[in-house]
Amino acid sequence: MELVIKNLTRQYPDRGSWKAGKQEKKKKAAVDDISLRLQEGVYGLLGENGAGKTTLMRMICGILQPTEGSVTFDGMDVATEEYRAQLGYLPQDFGYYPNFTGYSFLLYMAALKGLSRAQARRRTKELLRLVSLEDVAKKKIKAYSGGMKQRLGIAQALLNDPKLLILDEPTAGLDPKERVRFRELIAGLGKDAVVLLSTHIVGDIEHIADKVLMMKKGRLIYEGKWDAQKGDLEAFYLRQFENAREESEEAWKQ
Amino acid sequence: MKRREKEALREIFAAPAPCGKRDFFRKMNLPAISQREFVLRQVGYVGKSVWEVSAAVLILALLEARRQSQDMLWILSALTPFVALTIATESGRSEACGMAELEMTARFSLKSLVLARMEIVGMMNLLLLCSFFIFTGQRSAAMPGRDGVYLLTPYLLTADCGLWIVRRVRGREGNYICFGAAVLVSAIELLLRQNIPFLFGAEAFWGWFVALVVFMAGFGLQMKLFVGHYTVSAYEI
Amino acid sequence: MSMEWSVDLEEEYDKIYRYCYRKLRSREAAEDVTQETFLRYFRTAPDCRGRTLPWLYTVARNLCMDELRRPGTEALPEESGMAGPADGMGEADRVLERLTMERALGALSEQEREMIFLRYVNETPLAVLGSLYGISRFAVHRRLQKALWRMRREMDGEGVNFPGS
Repeated sequence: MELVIKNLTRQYPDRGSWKAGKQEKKKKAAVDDISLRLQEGVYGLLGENGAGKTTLMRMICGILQPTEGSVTFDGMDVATEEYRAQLGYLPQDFGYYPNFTGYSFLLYMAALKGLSRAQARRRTKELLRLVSLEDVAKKKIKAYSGGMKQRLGIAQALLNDPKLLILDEPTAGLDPKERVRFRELIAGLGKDAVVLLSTHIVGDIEHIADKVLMMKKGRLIYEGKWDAQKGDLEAFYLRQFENAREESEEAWKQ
Repeated sequence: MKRREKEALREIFAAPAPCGKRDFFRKMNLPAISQREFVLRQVGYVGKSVWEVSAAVLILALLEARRQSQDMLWILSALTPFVALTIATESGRSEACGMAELEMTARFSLKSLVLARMEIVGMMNLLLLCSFFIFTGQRSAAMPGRDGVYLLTPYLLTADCGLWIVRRVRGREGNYICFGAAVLVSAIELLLRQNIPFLFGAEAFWGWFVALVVFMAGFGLQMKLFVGHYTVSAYEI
Repeated sequence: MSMEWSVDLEEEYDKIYRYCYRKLRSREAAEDVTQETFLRYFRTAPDCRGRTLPWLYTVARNLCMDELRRPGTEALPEESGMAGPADGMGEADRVLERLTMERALGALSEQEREMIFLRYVNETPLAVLGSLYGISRFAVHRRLQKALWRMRREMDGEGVNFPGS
């Protein structure tokens, strides 16, 4: 099981560049030449807002077309149906059709993921139990709290038992107790799937990620195992940003 | 078969749990439901408003048909823009409700979903228009289908505008603007009929026919653009 | 090929597995045959359209027969005196009922036992059973009723019957 990302780049759309003219040698990119190989396990994608995490994830999910580079999973290209068959995605925010209940929402998504009706019913029940939403399954999503909606989102991502799970800020807006439950759930999923979760909450990473990926301004500035020996993750995080800034200043001077 | 009997049977015939099931299915690439099944299942998810608008239009049309007035054809013709409303709003529904991002990553991606919806609502619209056609009867034996032209032209014009609008203005606002467009087309037709009756006579028929062909091409183009919208990238930064 | 709307392959896996286990009495062998059955299903079955279950059972049955005919495979006893683990909460009554039922089942023919198993444990539809045995649904129903009647009579003979329904 391997997710291979090669030289992935996404430029900002060229608006008004005719003004900047030829002086603008270094075009800004939302995601700048990222290459990665991810296997089973939980990868934490750290970065401040605007670092390009969501853009990267959208490209991995096939929602956004890269300007350059490629994404493949076990040899399947991101734009294929077989790739999507292995994919589970939880976006930062998602809507729902009016009057959908948790139950009907999952059944609807199951149909989109190609599950037969019998399969859909079974998976829906299993997942509602897994994320502890059985009691409110028949209630309208309108009435759900933020945490419940997140849990529903994760349930939806797991419908097709995906080998590639992309979670965009899954713990944002959750209360501490829910956050712990989420972490346990995600850690379990990492055993036989490639799980990439993005967050700006360092505590999430500390507790569940096997490896850490750090992004700043579209570039990957650190990739490696998170080790308790390395000390406080937060301090480490800041240090990496310092290093990256120094590096880019050097490059700019040249 | 009594419940306790069944339970006892289950115990007697119990087998130790299999352990390779999940790994086995994960290794296999399970097939999905067929395209046909997918579309059929979407029928249940067609927006309520489509049914409501269709029912309202049908009722109005029936009332008009009962009246058997001279103007029936033109009134029905002025109703068709509202039929077209449904195909425009339904096509944009995913984005309007914030579901598009999730649907794009599913096995049956948003593109097939939008196509399925267009097929279904298109069918419904077709049935409605056919019923209009039946109501008007065939008045001119010399020109079969003439009434069809008069009915289809405002429909296609509104559909073209609607799809164009929904692609640019997402959400509720887009739907309201579409409604406005339907009202506009309908009103223009009625006003023109009042003031320039020549346009609605036999001599002007060929103008309508040309307009129909143009709008039909426009419809094809809008559909293509609409669906293509979801394959490139709807998410500019 | 595509999935039928009413078929849940993971559930059918469990059912086919149980079916094979009855015949082969070995978890590994049963699972091997089950997986082989599904492998063939993915590879060669065309649009099964309502015939998935009969197809699966037929292939599983044939594979089990092949497996049993292989040299080195001993003929295993038809009924293993060991049934599933008794429910820890079961009252003595239930255990007694179950044991009696097991004995009663022993008095039936193998096909009758298999039919009861398929119908009431695997919840196989009558039409599928008919297809599997090459008889009509009604014939299946008749044989099932007869088998149940004999089973219950045997149990009655031992003074055990199930209360109510």
